[in-house]
Amino acid sequence: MTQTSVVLTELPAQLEVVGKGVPRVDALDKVTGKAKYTGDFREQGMLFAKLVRSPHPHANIKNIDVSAALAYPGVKGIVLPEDAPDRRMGYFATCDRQVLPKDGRVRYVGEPIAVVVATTSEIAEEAVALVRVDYEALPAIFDAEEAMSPDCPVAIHPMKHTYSKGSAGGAVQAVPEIPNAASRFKIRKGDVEKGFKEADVIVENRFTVARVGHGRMEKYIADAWMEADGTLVVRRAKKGIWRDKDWLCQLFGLPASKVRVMESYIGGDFGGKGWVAFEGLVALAAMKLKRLVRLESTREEDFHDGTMAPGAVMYIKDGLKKDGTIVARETTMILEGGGYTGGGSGQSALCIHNGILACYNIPNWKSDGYVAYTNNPPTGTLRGVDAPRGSWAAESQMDCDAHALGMDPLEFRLKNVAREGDTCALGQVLQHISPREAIEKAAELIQWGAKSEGDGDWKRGKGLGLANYGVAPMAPSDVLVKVIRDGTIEVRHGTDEVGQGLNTVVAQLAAEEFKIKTDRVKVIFGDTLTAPWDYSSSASRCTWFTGNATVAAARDAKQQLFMLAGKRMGVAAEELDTRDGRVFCKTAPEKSIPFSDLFQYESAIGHGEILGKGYYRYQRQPFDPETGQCANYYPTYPYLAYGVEAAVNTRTGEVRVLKVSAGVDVGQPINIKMIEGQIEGGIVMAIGQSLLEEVMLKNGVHVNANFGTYRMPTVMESPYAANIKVESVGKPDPTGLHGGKPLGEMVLIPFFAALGNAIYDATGVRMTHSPMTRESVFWGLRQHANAH
Amino acid sequence: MKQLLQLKVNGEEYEVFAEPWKTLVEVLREELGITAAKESCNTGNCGACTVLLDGKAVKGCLVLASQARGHDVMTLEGLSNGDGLHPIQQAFIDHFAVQCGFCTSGMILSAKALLDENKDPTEDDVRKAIAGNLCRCTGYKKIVEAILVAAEAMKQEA
Repeated sequence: MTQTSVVLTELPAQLEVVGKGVPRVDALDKVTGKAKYTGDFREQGMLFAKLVRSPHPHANIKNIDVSAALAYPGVKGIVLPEDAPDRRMGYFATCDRQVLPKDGRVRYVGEPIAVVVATTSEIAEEAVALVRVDYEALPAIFDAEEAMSPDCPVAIHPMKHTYSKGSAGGAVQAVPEIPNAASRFKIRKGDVEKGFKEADVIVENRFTVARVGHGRMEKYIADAWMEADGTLVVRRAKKGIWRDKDWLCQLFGLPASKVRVMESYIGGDFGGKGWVAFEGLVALAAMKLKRLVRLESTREEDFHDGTMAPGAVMYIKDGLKKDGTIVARETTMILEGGGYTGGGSGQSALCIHNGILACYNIPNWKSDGYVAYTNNPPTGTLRGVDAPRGSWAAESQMDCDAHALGMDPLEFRLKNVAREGDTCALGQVLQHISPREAIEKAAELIQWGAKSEGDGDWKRGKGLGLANYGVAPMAPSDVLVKVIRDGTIEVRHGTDEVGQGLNTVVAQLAAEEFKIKTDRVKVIFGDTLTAPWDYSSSASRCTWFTGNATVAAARDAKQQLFMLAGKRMGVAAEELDTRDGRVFCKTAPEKSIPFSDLFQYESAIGHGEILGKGYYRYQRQPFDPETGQCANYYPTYPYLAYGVEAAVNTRTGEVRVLKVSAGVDVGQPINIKMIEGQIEGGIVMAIGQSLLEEVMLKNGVHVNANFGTYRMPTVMESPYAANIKVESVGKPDPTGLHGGKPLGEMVLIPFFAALGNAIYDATGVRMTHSPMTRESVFWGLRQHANAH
Repeated sequence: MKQLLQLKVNGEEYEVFAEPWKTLVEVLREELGITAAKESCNTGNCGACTVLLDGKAVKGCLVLASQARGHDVMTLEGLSNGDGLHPIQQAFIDHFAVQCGFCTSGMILSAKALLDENKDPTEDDVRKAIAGNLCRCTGYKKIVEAILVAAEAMKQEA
């Protein structure tokens, strides 16, 4: 068995499956109700866990008395901090989170303190109320800028200088000199002071954005049990089986062979299903009780544990020449990280800039991104990993810049848009990019320049936004491709089907290699016992990483197949190709043999199966933490531009999104229908997060932790079907998989500012806080009327 | 205290023991192992637990199981008996109306309740019919389009 790693350098001329809108391979399971999600499994005799949670935002735990709870009929056991490991967990930036607060301190309201296990979840919940915890309340802080101030009297992680970095934590830095700073990322390109001196006009603004949630339909649920040989098994509605396995091994000091992690179809992720804290709790319970234990969130608990997207405060300063050139940009962006950032938001010190750093050619650039600890619930990654926040500031700023110069916002963007060979803010040379085409397409589809008429109190306006994204290398992918004797091809991958369509993508890729239809491809995933190593469905990496590994594995399997067939047919392997479950001779296609004959023949001499293996890795060049400069930080840069037409009621402040256009550069699309689907979904999620959604906290306590008051868009808030238009404009990226680039993280990013710009176009009101609720637009209109 | 409960689900009669406060979706999922209807918000906001009660779309988390006694309950599992798919299911596949799939059962059943009543729905009719079903993946566009295509297909079948 050989291992190969390929980046395709040529575009296959005759793609038959890739690039087509092939139906999803999981759709039949899902429309018939046969698709299984973690909560659909239910075992006789399983136990149910509920969590004792802190009512304090910041406190020391003095004593935990479980005697009454343990005596409650039906209670089987209680896991306490003393049962938990000391180790702090985190991915990316900082390992700051213990499974249970063994350090004796709670840092947010809702932090788990103990796990009560009983025969039913009702009994467990009743027993939770019987656990008596004595606390010593500590002063708490909830505002990011206050937390970052040198005068802040509260230090939330006084021992943070001792915390280690997460496994993927190369980019962001610890900040020992600021007590409540979790992490920092610096960009220094050119000479920003010189740039500002050369500028004719300086534009400075402050933008803010609220904390928002994933709102994925499936809540957290996890089961854990011990097998007879001492193997810990965790089956959960989370992504990244191998990453979780590694974490659980580290957390509990277990050898790799003694942890098995499983998952099924996942009912939506959007970045909220990566963090292992929840699995750690149920695993602890299973190890202590030696029983099958289920831990399932209520929707309210899902808000506590949901590692939501942090709120942020963003300062941005641009230096402009009269001709419309941007000569310098300086930003300071501070994210409100909550009590723990190990769930991913630590990395956001970098990622908040991720949607803006390759859009325009800006020669002098200085940025500081910070994540601040507060006593709000912890934060983590959410679709775009806070790039939507940075883009909200920067793409709103682009319109402010244009207006300061008296230029049209589209013309101003086109004047500065990144071109082939420009360097981005990280110093990487940009290649195979089409941001100009993306923004031009979005403008064309929204009929930019044609003023739309309002109606009575309703005024209409249009706005644009542009984003790039970097597909994060993070970790390698391995894939296995097995040839089955009936002509079926089996693909085994170790990442996730969270709804994004990865199973369809790998099926298309394998089908293309074997020239079969996708219904002859079987995709196996979701169990570390049977699936090869991969990282997780994160950072838009799967099509690129798992996809490249799939092609490599398929080619390895084909090579073995041709060796076998060649011997049987008396033809050199190089002379052979395959189609529809047969191997044939390229020069004489009538000479062919079905796969089944090969297995019959070869099994007699001991060749039972054909198993191809492929992997993909990406080697990042050295990275300078003082400047953020790196020659190849990201393997590729996709782009997305939105055009938005909105109507604003000038009496009430209500905003309606009427039309949305998208120009997308994902190179050569692998499946255009799934790309449309992800973008359309991103648009409506962004409508929610920019108009309706805000995780409200009062002194660290959730105010709207349910779907009644955390209002997400229904179909009624989304535009009519014909009013969402998506077009692909990219040119194939020859370094990419069949010329394709990734998409998923990008689909929220440029929407927020595009909508804010449309509101400005309609009313002259510049919104500086998202979500742009009816109330905030109303007050914006009022202030604007008073000032003019 | 558990009580004996008779339920008719997808044409089959069941007898189960369940606490009287258990909701219909809980009893379907936990006692009968009929799992296509999902639990998500438990406050009637998301529609993932939608089932049909005598052909009307109801939220399984807002109906007590005991209230379903004497009525016909239909879940997604009961939609296509035999080999073929229902036109709504086929349209959901053909028009990419499915992503993560967690809302799909509720969406399809809300669509069925609409199309059984209204053979010729407008886009506005479809929007109203699924306004109680949240989907976080698709942005609804392809779901609306699929339901309109299914309406056409059902008209031609009839």
